[in-house]
Amino acid sequence: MLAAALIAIPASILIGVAGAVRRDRAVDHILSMASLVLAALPDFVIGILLVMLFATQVFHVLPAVTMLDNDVPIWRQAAQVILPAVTLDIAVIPYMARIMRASMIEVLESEYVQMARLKGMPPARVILRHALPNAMVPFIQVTALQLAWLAGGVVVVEFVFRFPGIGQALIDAVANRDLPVVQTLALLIGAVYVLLNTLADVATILLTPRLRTAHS
Amino acid sequence: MSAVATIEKPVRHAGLLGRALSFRRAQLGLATVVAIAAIAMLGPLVAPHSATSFVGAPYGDPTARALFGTDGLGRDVFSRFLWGGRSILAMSLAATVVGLAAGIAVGLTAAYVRGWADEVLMRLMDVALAFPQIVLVLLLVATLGPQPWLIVLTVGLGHAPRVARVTRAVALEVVERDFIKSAKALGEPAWRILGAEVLPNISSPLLVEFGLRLTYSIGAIAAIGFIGFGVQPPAADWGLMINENRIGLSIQPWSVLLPVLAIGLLTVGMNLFTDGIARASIGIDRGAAQ
Amino acid sequence: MTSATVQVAGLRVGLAGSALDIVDGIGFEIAAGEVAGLVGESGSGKTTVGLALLGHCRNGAAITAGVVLIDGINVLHATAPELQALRGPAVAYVPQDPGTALNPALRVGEQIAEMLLVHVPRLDARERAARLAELLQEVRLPAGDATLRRYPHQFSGGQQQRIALAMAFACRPRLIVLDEPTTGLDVTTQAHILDTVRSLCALHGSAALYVSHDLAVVAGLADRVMVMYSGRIIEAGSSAQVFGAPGHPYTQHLLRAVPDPAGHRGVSGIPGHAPSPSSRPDGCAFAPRCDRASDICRRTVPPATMRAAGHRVHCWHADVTETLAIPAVLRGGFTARPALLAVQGLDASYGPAKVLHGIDLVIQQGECLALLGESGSGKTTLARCIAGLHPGHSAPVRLHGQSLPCSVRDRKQAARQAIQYVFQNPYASLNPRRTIGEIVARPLQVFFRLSANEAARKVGAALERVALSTAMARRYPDQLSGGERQRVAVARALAAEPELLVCDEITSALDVSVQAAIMELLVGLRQSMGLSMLFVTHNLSLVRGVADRVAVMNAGRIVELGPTAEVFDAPRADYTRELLANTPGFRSVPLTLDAAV
Repeated sequence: MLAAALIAIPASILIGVAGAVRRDRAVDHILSMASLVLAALPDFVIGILLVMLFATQVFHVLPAVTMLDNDVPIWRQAAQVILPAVTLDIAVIPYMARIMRASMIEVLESEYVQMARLKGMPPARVILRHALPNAMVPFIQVTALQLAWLAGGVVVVEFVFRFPGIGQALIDAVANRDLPVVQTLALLIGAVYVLLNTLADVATILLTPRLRTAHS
Repeated sequence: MSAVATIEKPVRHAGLLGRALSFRRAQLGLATVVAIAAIAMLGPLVAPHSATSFVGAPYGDPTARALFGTDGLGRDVFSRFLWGGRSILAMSLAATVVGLAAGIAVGLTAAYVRGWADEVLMRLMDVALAFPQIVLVLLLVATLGPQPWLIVLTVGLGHAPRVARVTRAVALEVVERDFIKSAKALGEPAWRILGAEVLPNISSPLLVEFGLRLTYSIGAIAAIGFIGFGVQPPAADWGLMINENRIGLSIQPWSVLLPVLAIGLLTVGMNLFTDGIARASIGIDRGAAQ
Repeated sequence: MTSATVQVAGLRVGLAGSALDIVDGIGFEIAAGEVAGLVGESGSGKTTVGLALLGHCRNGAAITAGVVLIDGINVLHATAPELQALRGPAVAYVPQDPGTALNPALRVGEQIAEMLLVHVPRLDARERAARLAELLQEVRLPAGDATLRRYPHQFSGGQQQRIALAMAFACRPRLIVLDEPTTGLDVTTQAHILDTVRSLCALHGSAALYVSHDLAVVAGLADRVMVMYSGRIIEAGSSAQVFGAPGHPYTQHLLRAVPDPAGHRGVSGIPGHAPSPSSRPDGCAFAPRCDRASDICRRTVPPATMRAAGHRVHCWHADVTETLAIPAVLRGGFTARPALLAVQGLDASYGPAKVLHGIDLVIQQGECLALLGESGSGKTTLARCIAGLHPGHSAPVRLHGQSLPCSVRDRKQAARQAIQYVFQNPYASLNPRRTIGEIVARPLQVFFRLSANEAARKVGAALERVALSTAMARRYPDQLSGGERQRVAVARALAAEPELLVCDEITSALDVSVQAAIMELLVGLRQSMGLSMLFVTHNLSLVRGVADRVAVMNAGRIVELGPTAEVFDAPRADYTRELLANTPGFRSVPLTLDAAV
């Protein structure tokens, strides 16, 4: 899940900004169509399609189920983690990229970005210095929600790959009606959410001078 | 004046769907949804076998008798596929309606009353958001057992916080406008202000929200079936079929592929259509704001 | 070639992907150090012209023809990098609303300094700091790091506009385009900003194009004036020529619509409204509203006629010199009458801030009382307290001597009916999802218990009262012009048959010609219906023509209250005097319309 998150954030910023800057050109249309399709697919559908593509039917390059050896460091078993992580990424990146794109487009149409252009600022400066910091705020809020959602999506994706993680444990506990374990795990996932949201709020405040400086 | 009326023809509600369908993606989306929904609703009428009868050996290859082969227990994959869509469709629709109704009610109330009641309602929604839908369902299923009504209710109420947020956000902007103050000055009761003045002005974003939530409902209900807590065997259900047969994935892929494709196409089609509505409604709302 | 810094010819901006022009055939010159005023009402295309001088147009529009030369360089032929290099050193822009045009996430120091960083890279950090300090001084902002390290939201509106001026003048541009830079500012702040603009242009020899809808401001600032209507310049000349001897019927009507702070004349509106780009007629765009229009006006766009040296008029009848009648002063005299409504010692808060302090006010039966104040003075809050739309004020409002509850919800139906409120923005006060008929019928249903059918039958009469056609009832608000919408709002209020009409800045969102027409309507209605009126406004000139008495508000207090003529001619409060002094008018310009009295 951490691996998925580490890829998801920069990738969605990049895709979102690319779509916004090249708005209504071919690149944007392809990205937006792809993200519409991928955002709609339930995560387990993506997972099974990937398994069929890379493990069972078409290619046979990656394991269909994850078998982790607890004594070996995780980076030595990267092949085991690729499919689950990619599945999670495909499930969250399209949505995050769409938000980034929408937020960036709104900022690019704002008067202060128009003003920066009328001041003769070079395009790179307009996008990176004037637009991006303002476009990040809604993106961060959504990212927190999406990453928290990863915590839920993990349940199903782990089940697809029989990944020995918190989600698999939760499902087993539910199947066995092991209520205390279920409650503990649910609480743990809730805590992740609270933590992520707090981080997002802190980041938002750092990016928004209006929230951290007094009016005069 | 007449020139303005003819050239800038106002697009009202009847026109929203029509305008959405002017996008090729939306046409494609709607066609896909209709096709899959038709399979799900009419499938049982044309299915060659019952969903539970055994017609051959386990994981049998496609034959004339079993068009897409047989599943792990020797039942006809195609017949089970034709039977298995109704439950997903019906439950998703019900869950979406529940979620939207609850979310709109909370969101409108919060936006209209403001103040502490707004704070309390929205904080409650935030807390509810803290539990991913699937975890919430698992928690309740663990307590009460896998009941269809329970799943509809939890998936639906799982949508409510997000719907409430969206409703509140768009309603806040409308509530602040002067025509609402004007209605208050007339002494109109709150229910009439919300129903007759606010709601018609936020119906397009809510329609978009409905499409979006329906997409997610389908995904969530299918996922619950998939992990085995939805419709219970031996009944047919697309989610359940995937779960039952994925062990034999490398021997007999059809029993997994058919329901996976159906669910995928349904959600993608729904999303494409919703996107069309969203695009069309942006134009309309801009026109109304001018 | 001439010595003009800026030469524009044949400029045309069209809607992308259609044959419609937003502006067409624009041509003018501006000399170094000269301030040219470009005036027009909303939709005339004045901002489009201003932005085209920077080689920019809004999304969906495209510059399709013309030349814009700044010091001989054609801005419209520049490549993207060339254009980028021109913006700043050659031509700079001052936006209408610095509140949205300054980047909220960047310190103002960086926003000003980047002009130098990008356009004058040879400066080192120390030289740049020196220039910044110099700029702050030029735009009269407090010097020092403290100013530069702050963010835009930490400044007032006037200060934000000074920051925008500093950005614009940072590279000493040859041309500066100012797009309504004082709209939304108080008259006193406006006067200071205009003063700064004038002195900076003179100091650096920059040519300036001042785009505005406010004729009085332009009259006081510009050396030359161009009047735009429906995408074309219809008259151009020196300030004295255009304001003193206007040649185009539109200019003449427009000047008659501007309220006179001196109170020597009334106002008269122009019937109808300007056509949108998609419905412009062939020939002269003003012809449908013009009483002089003949066949040729409706067929062919009129060419320029020179009335005097440098005075250009685009009218087929520019030689006609008939003098238009001066609108009569409509205000009646002040007489003491019994009280209709009274408040005593009223305090009110907005959130934690107290915005009204001990207000004493009496509205007499049948009088029009003007509540005059700048933004933030509390005038709207007071009006809302009276209408029961501002919860939680300290003292009761008394109607006919009877105390009313604070909130309109708790008031009896008779009280709700007696006080009707017309809102400032007609674009927000009508529900876009209901027809005009439904909107106007609602008070009839609520107050007179009429069925939907009975109410619908009475709607026609209510619309005719505000000079709208009955057919309007089937339309939706977005199919109406701003002036028509405001008439609908008035019709809705009058349908309740109120005793007191509260008008909250009801003309501030409208063009001056439409404003004048609404004022005429209100004055007429008041006479025919014997209505009492509370007229809330920031526009001092407007008050003179309608009010029997004026209450001047400042910082939540009434600082002066008296009969209109007394307040204007012999103000007692310092604040009123300052307000009067800073209100721009045509006093300096001889107006033939006045001279004909």
